[in-house]
This record gives sequence, structure tokens and C-alpha cells, in this order.
Amino acid sequence: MAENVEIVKGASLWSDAWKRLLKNKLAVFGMIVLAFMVVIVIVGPWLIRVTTGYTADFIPAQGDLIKSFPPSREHPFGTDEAGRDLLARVLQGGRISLTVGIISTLVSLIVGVSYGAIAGYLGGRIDNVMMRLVDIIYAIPYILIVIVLLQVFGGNNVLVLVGWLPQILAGVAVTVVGIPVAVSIYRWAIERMEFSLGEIAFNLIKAFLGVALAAALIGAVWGTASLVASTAAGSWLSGKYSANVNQGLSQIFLLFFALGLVSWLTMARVVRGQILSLKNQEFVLAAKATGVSTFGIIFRHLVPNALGPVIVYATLTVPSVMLTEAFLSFLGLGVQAPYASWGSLAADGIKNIAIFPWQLIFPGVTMALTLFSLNFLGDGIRDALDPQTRKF
Amino acid sequence: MLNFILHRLLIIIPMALLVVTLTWGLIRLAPGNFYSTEKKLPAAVEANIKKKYGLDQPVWKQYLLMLGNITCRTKSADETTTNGVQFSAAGYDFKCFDFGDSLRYQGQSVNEIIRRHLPYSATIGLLAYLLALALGLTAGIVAALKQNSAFDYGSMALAMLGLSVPNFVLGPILVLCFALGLYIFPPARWGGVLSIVLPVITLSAIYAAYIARLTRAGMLEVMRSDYIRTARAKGLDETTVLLKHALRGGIIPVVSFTGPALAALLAGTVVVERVFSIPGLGNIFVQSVFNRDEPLILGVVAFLSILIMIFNLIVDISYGFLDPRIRYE
Repeated sequence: MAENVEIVKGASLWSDAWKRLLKNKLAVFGMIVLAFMVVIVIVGPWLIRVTTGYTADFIPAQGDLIKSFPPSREHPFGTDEAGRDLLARVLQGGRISLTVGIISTLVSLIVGVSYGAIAGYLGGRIDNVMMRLVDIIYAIPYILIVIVLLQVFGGNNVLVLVGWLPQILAGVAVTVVGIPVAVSIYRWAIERMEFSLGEIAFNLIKAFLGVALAAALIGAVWGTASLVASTAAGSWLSGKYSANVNQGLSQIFLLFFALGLVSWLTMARVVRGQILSLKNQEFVLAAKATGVSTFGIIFRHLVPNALGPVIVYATLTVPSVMLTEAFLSFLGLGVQAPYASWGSLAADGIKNIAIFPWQLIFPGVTMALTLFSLNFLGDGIRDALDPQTRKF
Repeated sequence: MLNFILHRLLIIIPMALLVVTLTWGLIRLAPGNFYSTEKKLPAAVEANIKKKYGLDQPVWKQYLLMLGNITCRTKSADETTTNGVQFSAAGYDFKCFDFGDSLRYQGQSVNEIIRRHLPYSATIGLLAYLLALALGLTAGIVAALKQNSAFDYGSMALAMLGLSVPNFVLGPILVLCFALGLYIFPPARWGGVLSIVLPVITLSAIYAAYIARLTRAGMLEVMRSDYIRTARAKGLDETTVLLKHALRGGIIPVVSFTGPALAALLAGTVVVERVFSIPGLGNIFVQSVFNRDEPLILGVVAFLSILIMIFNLIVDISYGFLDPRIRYE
């Protein structure tokens, strides 16, 4: 081997995009602020406890009649109505706000990507039904329903919901197994009959078979759920769940659910569009020819190729989900008392705005700064990954 | 075109019913009910309440009754309600869109409550969206025409700020500065032109920001397209090219944003009405959800979802006028 031969590694899409991202000053600013925020939110509460002894829910036992102190050396962000250190609370709230943003985005990623990819790849009638469903959910003013959901199932009632968890999980499991089974029965039956019948009779039988299979599926889901509920094991399990569960945390999980419920819709549309344009390319044909399963083609070959728009859309989902969470917490529907989020802290602060303005300003500005950097980062990633649609 | 509109109008009916059904199901699925308080009610009282609100009947009957009330059903002889639309046809008395009486605000019908509180929300929402359009379109167009200028960078940074500051933070900060500090505007309550200023600014900030960004991106894309070059080659002056040709294509993203914006405007008004103590529909809705005032919740949900869907339809129709390439069949 000659020693002067240098192996030049070709620039991949990702390293190219990374370089472009680093050139974007605003995106780098966003990245730095965000990294700082994540670190301080993780270690901050611990650091405060070690240095000053305050925690997010430490209420001084006695003291003055008015417990709201302005920012000082002891309390850099001041204290809240009950005399709790506001800096510790803002950091604690940041943990929850950021977690809500990230987890809801992950939910939307998993559900949206699988849903969109399956609809796009299978195409035809399945695609039509799946995307019509998305259209329907899209047209619903979901914020009204989310407000109702969080109120009627919030507070104590969240424990009842937790008690239903085994039934719900059983139902979901039956649905996941049932749909492919029903689809294959349908296909198998149709292939048997195709040659022997006239067109009208054939269509009628197809429609009847479809309705019957759908009814059987709903029946199976319902039956399994009630079976789980009625057996001793099911009631023991649900009792165990509701006894051990933390009400505040369950409320936060309900919030994840409510936010994740709708945020996957746009993701599903984005992914479906990508898959539609990819699925007729040669590498898919090659994969089919070598005998890769449908599942393998979708998740091994198609989804990785559609990752760019997915990442772009996901980074822009985080701030919007965080904003919705803050809105719900502001109304008193989201994160509840022992826990705090930036939204609920701002809601607390707004009550005393005229006298103790720092109680609103510090959580509010921290949240605005985080959203600001997330938005800049999202814009930067879009420009970096997608130079063609870049806004010149 | 007419077919398309009719088709979409017809779809609104099952969609609104679906939304109402979902909401009703959620309320009914949850444990507890509107009349239970900390004090246990005597059995006779509870039975009477259940009878009055039809809770002693099987669930499917209650559901059908609810559906009949909010759509149309025949009126029985002993009903004295004057809510909703009432008419006689083919020997039967019909009544439609009767959302019933509020459980919390005694003696007030839901229809009346909606009618009374809607104007506040509508005024704020409409003015805020108009302000957002005016600000956003101007900023977006100028930024696109003077690309990479100081104005471009400045307005886009401002737009990013508008996107990032939640309205429940912006509102109180404006109050702090202009109401409690400078005494220019009243801090809360409704009455007079001055009291509308701060709520409208608070509500419009995020939409102005969105619209400015969308307009800028849309205009930049359109200005490079072939039909603009053709228009210039025809010898049209720059103003005509800009206003008559470029703007029509450039604001299509803004028009499609109007649909989601309306839904978000709803959430926005809830916050703004809370912050500024305005007795609008958003505030009433949140109150009714907290009170578990079932007829009021269902009434507001049905009303608002139909309203939003109709606005969405108008948005879809207006595409056809803006972009001649879009056709509906």
C-alpha cells in the first residue's frame, strides 16, 4: 500500500447538515441556551438544596405575615406567596415543563411515524380510511375536549382512570393483534371467492364481510376488556395500581396523554407524504425482491429515509406542546399542587402581579427564553436539513 | 364548486355530533356527577334530582334525548320551554337547538348565556385577528421585499419573540407597564374603547408573528416564480406586479393558517379573558367545565365546533379565489 493514499470519507447528509447548523449563529445560540437550561434544570434543585438548604416545597415554619420576599442574595428569584424559594420552584417546574414537551413529542413521533408510514406504504383503501380518520380528528376543536377530559378525569378521578389501566391495555393489545388478523382473513376470503361470483354479489359480500369483521373486532376488544375487569386478577391488578399510584404524577401522565393525543396528526401527514414519494423507488423494489417483510421495508428502509422532515417537525413540536401544557396548567387543569410547571407558576404569580411582580416575571421569562431558543433551533435545523426549502 | 360546498356543509353535521358525543361520553364516563357535594343528599332528594334531569332512565335513552334536544325533536304537550327554534309542521310541534337550562346559573337557558357572552369574545377575537393581519402582512411583505436588510432581521427577530412569549405572560407584563405603571389603560374589566386595547394586543401578538413569518416565506417564494417574471416582462409596473399578482399567491399560506388560528384563537381568548376579567364565552366555558354544568358545556362545545368548522369551510373556499390553479370537483 502506498502511504500517500488518503482515505477521504465522503461527507454524509448528517455531517453536512451539522456543519450548516453550526454556521447559523441563532441556532447555535438556541442550542447553547437550551443545553444550559437542561443542565441547570437537572442539577439546579440539588445545587440549591446543598448550598442554601431550600427545596421547591420547603415552607418556612414561621416568619413575617407576608412571606413574599423580593429577589435577594438568599433568594435570587425572590419567594412565592407561601415563602418558598422561587428559583428552586422555577427549576423544578422546568423539569416538568421540559419533560412534558419531550415526552409528548416522543409520543407524537412514535405514533405519527408508524401511522403515517403504514398508511403511506400500504396505500389504497387502508390509506384512505386511515387518513380520513386523521382528517376527522383534525377538524375537531380538540382544545375543548382536552379541557373537559382534564377536568372530569383530573384530581381524585385520575385514580379511577388508573384503575382502568389493565382493561385499556388489554383492549389496545387486542386491537393491535386483531387488525392484522382481520385484514388477512378478509384478503384470504376474497381471494377464494373472486372467480366464482358476479361483480355486484361480490361487492355485496365484500362489504358484508368488512362490516362483520369490524363488528367482531370491536366485540373482541370490548369482551377482553370486560373479561379483564371481571376476573379476580384484573381487579387485584387495578386495585394495586390505584393504591400505589401518586395522584400528582398520574395527573401529569394524563396530561402527556391529552397532549400526545393530537400532536401526532401533523406528523402522520408529513411522514405519509414522504413515504408516498419514496415507496416506488428502486431500493424498495430491491428489498421486496430479497424477501424483506412489509414491516421490515417500512421501518428499516422507508422510515430512515424520511427522517429529515420528521426531525424538523419534531423540534418544532416541542415548543408548541410546551405552550399548550403551560396554557392548560395556567387554567389549573394541568400540573397540580405539589408539582409545579412554568404555566402553573405563572398562574400563581398573576394573582399578585401588582405587588409582587417577580412571581410572574421569573417563571414567565424563563419559559419565554426556552421557547425562544427552541424555536431558533428548530428553524436552524430545518434550514440545515432541507436546503431546498430554505427561506433564501 | 356548489357541490363541494354542499358536501362540506353536510359533513359538518355528523362531525359536530361526533364532538358532542365525545364530550358527553367523557362527562358521563367520569365518576361523580354535577349534583353531588361534600354533604350526602337524602335519598328522596337525589331521586327527585335524577328524575328531573332524566338520570333515572337508561343511558341510551338519555343520549338520544340529549341528541334530540340539541338537534331537533318533537315537543311534547307539557313542555313550556321557549328555547331554541320552535315551529309547527305536519301537525307536530318541533323544537330545535334547545341546549336546555344551565345547572349552575339557575333559570338561565344555555342559548341565552351563549347569546349574552359571545359578543365580548367575538369582538376581541375579531379585532385581534384583524390587527394581526395588518401588522403581520405589512411586516412580512416589507421584510420579503427588503430581504436581508435591518428591517428584515429586526422584524423577524421580533416575530420570533412574539411566538415565544406565552400570552399569559405578555398580558400581565403589558398590564404592569401600561395600566399599573403609566395609568394609560385600565388593567381589567370591560367598558369603553380603552379597555379593549390591551386584551387585543395581547391576543394578536402570536398571530401577528406567525402571519409575518408565513407572509415573508410565501412572498419570497412567489417573487421568484415564472408568472411574476411574465408579469414584469409584460411591462406591468412594480406596484401592480406586487399587489395584483404576487400578493395573491404569497398570502395563500396565511389563508390556510386561518383555520388552525381560529381554533387557537379560542384558547387564546380563554387566557386573555381570564387575565383581563372579561365576561366572554371562553371564560364561561372554563367555568362551566369546572362546575360540571353539563348542558352549558355541551352547548358551548357544539356551538364553537360548528363555528370553527364553518370558518374552515370558508377558508377552503377562498383558496379557489386566490389561486386559480386550485379547483374543486
